[in-house]
Amino acid sequence: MTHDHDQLDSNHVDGEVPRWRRHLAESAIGLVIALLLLWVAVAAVTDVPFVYQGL
Amino acid sequence: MADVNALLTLFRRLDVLSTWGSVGRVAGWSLVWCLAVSAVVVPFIPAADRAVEPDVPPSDVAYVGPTSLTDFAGFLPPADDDETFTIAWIGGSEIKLGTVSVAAAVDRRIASVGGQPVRTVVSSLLAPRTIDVIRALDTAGAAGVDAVVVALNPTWTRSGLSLRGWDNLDVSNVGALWRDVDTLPWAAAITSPDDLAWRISRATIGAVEGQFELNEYAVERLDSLDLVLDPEEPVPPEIDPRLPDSDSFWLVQEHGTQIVGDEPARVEALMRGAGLPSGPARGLIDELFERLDALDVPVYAYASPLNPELLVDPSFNEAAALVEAFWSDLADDLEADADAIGGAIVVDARMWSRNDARARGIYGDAIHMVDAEPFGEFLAARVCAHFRSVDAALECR
Repeated sequence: MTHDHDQLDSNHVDGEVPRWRRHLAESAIGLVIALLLLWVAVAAVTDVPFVYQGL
Repeated sequence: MADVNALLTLFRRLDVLSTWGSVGRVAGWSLVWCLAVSAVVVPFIPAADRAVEPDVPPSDVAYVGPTSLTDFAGFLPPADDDETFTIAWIGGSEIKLGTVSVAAAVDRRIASVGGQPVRTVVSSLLAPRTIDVIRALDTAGAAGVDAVVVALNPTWTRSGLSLRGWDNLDVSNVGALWRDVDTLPWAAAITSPDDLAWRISRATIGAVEGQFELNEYAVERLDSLDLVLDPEEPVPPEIDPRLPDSDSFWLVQEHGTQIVGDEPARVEALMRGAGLPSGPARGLIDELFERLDALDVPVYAYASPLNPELLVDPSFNEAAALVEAFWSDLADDLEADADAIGGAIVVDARMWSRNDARARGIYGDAIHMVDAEPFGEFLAARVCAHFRSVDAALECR
């Protein structure tokens, strides 16, 4: 067990999770973030016309 | 909060995002997935097409100006084609509105220039400002056009400080104002970090570049769920007054709300500038013509004609004369600087609809024609005469 010098989590312990599983999880998180970013990019240009109703 | 804690526990259990290395890998994966999703989606995005009403009569003119304030693609560059003589038309709605197009009326009368078939590409916007025109030129110039025709809009003579509507062009032509010391203050004032971020992400990721087309598709699909924009009973126009647009706010401040519905009075007020000095406007116009000069191609710039029926009114005519004087000053200065300009640029400052019966088209309002054919005939002759004067080989057929 070694403490990583660049760790963000003070409770982090190396080596407890298989590397492939960690990379798979990182890839899945990356996919979720990518889809959210692309959603933002597409939704950002929605043009909702402002119609003043006199109120 | 419990959900966040559950997520953090899951991350800890999976040993992800616990080191900077892991954060970096997740960021890398995000980029890879963006590119991967783009690779799947982009082939299905329809080719960019500007939604303009077809010309009547039909024409082969291409319209490349954005038609939506949310379209970050800006002006589409004309294809670089050595086989055709490409004429870039730049201006406002007086060039093309609805089915009426002055550019098409001219295009129909010029089959070829210098032996090459003519291709007319129109970079027009509704109510452009000089900064927007500089950006249109930025795109057209980079594509290597063979000649430029500029319809000089009356508002450019007075509106150097007025509000712009097309800030989406800040993204598409993000570098256009940074290249010259004279426009650096404008660039710094109106370019924001998100403009740069959008520009970089659009250049990098295909799905972001196609965001406008994807958005149209998504809106169309989701429209059936929309109860707010599709009320069961349409709102009658008489109880649906709109707030004045950005240009009209200061007009309303100066002249009252009645000016919004009084088109001739609104155009006259714009020409008079509501007290705005013409100095800043002239500075940007000088910048525009320096850039036109740098293209080293024939440039024909003409004062957009106004409805001759309105020019009979002394007050309207006086405002139009102010515009004419502005363009005449510019023409004189360019002529005096003919060595630098090389004669390739001409500014036709006269209000031809007042001065020549052949140039009078039929107008629907102060500046927009409902029949552009008579003016097109007149303008085609003048444009061709200028091309010939620049280079005898540039004969129109």
